[in-house]
Amino acid sequence: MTLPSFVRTRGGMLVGLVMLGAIGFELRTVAGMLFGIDLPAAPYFIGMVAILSIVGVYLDVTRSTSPDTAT
Amino acid sequence: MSTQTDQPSFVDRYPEEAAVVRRSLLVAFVMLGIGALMGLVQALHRTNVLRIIDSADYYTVLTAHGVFLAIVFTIFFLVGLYQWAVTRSLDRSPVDIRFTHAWATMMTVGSLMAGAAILLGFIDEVPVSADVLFTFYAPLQAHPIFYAGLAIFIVGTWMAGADWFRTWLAWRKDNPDERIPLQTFMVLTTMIMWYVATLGVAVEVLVFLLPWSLGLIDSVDPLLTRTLFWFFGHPVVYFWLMPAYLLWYTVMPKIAGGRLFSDPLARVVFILFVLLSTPVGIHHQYVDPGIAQGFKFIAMTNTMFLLLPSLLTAFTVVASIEHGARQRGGTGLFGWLTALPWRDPAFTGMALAGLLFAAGGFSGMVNAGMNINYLVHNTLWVPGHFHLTVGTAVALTFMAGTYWLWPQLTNREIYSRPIALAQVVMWFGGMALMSNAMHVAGLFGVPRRTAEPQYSFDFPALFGTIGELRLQIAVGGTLLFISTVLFLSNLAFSLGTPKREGFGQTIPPALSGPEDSPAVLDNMKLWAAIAVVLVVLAYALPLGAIISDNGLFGVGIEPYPMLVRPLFDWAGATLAGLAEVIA
Amino acid sequence: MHIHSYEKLWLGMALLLIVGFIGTITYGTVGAGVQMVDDSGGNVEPGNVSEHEEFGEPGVEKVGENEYDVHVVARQFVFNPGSEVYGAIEVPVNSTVNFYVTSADVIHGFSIAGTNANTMVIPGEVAEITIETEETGEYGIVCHEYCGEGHHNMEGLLRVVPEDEYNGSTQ
Repeated sequence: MTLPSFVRTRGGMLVGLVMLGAIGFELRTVAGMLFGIDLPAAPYFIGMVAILSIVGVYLDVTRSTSPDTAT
Repeated sequence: MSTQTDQPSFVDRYPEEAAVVRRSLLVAFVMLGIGALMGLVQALHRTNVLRIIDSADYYTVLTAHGVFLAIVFTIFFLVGLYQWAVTRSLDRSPVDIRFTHAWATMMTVGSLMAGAAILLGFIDEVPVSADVLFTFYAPLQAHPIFYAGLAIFIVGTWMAGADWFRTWLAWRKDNPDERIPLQTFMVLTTMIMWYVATLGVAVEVLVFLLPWSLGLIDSVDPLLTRTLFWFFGHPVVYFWLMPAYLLWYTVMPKIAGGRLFSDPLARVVFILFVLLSTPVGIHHQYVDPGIAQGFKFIAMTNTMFLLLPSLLTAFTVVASIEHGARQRGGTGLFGWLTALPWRDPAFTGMALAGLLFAAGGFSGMVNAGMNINYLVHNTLWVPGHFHLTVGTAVALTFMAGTYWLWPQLTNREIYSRPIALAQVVMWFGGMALMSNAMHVAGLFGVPRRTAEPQYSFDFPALFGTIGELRLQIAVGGTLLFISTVLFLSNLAFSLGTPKREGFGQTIPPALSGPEDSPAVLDNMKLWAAIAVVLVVLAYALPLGAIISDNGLFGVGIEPYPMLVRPLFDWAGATLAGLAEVIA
Repeated sequence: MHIHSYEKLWLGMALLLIVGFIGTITYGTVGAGVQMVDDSGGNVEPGNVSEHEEFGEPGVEKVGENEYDVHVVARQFVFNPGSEVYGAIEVPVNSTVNFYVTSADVIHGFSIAGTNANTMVIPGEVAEITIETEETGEYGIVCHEYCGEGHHNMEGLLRVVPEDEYNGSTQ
């Protein structure tokens, strides 16, 4: 499969994952402030970090087996 | 980051000017290091995670954090960057480089005086202190060398501006029919704004606070001096922001692979800042007694119109980097985003800074909303807001810009690109955490500028817990500190990379050039005059009302020198020592 | 001057947004009646606060049917009344409460945590804010402006009690 070019590098992946993390973090605030949904902090953040790690590892593996790998 | 080209670099062409730029950046970064350390101490202290100081000393730390970062770091970076920008874009040296050295020296001396007054607050044996915070509201009183240092520093910046105007006038003589190059245009407009804005603080310090701290006058009016402070205190935020805008407009499109979208719009934006930056200061005083509601309303409408230049900037900068991305082969409605040079810390740093600036802009609109401001005034929301603006949009852009500029100033490559990338991303992540938590805590009523995490009552949390917000602030603050250390050490290691030739960079002309804009945009005298008129309109009546209510010097206001306690301690210790000797 | 058509559209939307913001604030002031703290409180000399007619004996005073005036003196690092040494401020629920706050020394802040009752307290000036007490309970009062090395100790308490429990004194 072809990956978007920015995840073809570890630098690009880092930027993308941290931005996803920030969005995930803000979503909990939105849920709490605007919709009154009180998501418990510890499970939410641990879950979020776990999902992002899995995505990161998956992308990294796909990246290094992809034929058009940039460095 | 600067990649190698075949052109001579800035330092090859202008070695003396490059030395001035390097020295200014050096002072800026030393202050960044000290200020960041203070920030870490605060973040851990007020969240009760780690306490290595007394709560009474927290305010010394806070004063140092505010003054070193918001005044010294930002402004020294500005003068370095602007010296580079004027020299580069006019392609000529200052009229007299000795004058350039003179202002750089004055600014350094002023900073050292004010800095010493602040830091001596930690040493009880020395009766010098300036625990008055960044805003130094009377009747809290600092040691005279704090005020004198500030005054000398500001006169230094005035001289810097005069130097750049002089260079421009000399260039104008040789090029009577040319449009002002964009970077020089930005420098000159910034300085016009600065001259207007600093009138407030100059009068406050030279007419009132300095004579008062020396005992020459007995009393000052707290409301009047505070109003003069905010006369300067809001435009100073644009003094931080405009160099960041200069980088976003002229450097960022280039490193994104393209060129600026519109030169005329960039000029319009800077002129709007000249006109609107100062007649808004009263929006910091929405809940001040003694100022009529009408004046607050005028400040509110001016402030809202000040959104315009930033919204225009959002358009122009995004359009410029989209153009760059498409030049690099990006396609699609949003697909071009993936074609941007995200591995380049200079680009990524500026882009992330811009992203958080958008968030900071929205929280700023809440602050500007006169009656909504009741909910957030002086809560932790406010530092949450300005850590996104000056703490990220400005500071992170400066750091990212340094990665691009530094090789051109030294002929040496940045030590490590991956560390630099991790650094800017870590700043983004740390700030997202800390600032979000501060905004939320502010909405729950947690005040700013306090050493203690908790009072004897509980703040009502609408969701989550106050404890978890504190933890987020502590973790975010720690990440920011680590990020600063990575930045400074990467730069320090860059002093040891081998010297090479050919780091020169050019900045491509805009897609829509200055010839598309009316020449009146370049009429500096006109814009300066309109700016002064707007300031007079906004401030004459409120200042007049305050003075007619309270007189120039207030009625029966006692000074509260912040060195009372250390002075007593010192006197007590001396007496005890004497007693011992006598016995 | 050449302006790209998208840019014109963006400029128009930006101006609309700005005018919209000003509109909401104007509505808040005129429609919803949220008044800003202003110069209506008058002036009082900080050194003479103790001799002032109202601030000499600060506290709660009934001035009308369901309406109360509360005079508060802020000084390093207490609110009188409000702080523990002077006793909490007590007012009945469902009433209009006018706070008059001044400072006897430096600049302080006065905010009722978790509400939008919030003002600066500046020596020489009297800050006047009016609140409606809608819910009973205890509300923390915070000094939110740095006022010296004991700033973090400066706090107070506002107690909003049911009408039948209100006994008309500060304690």
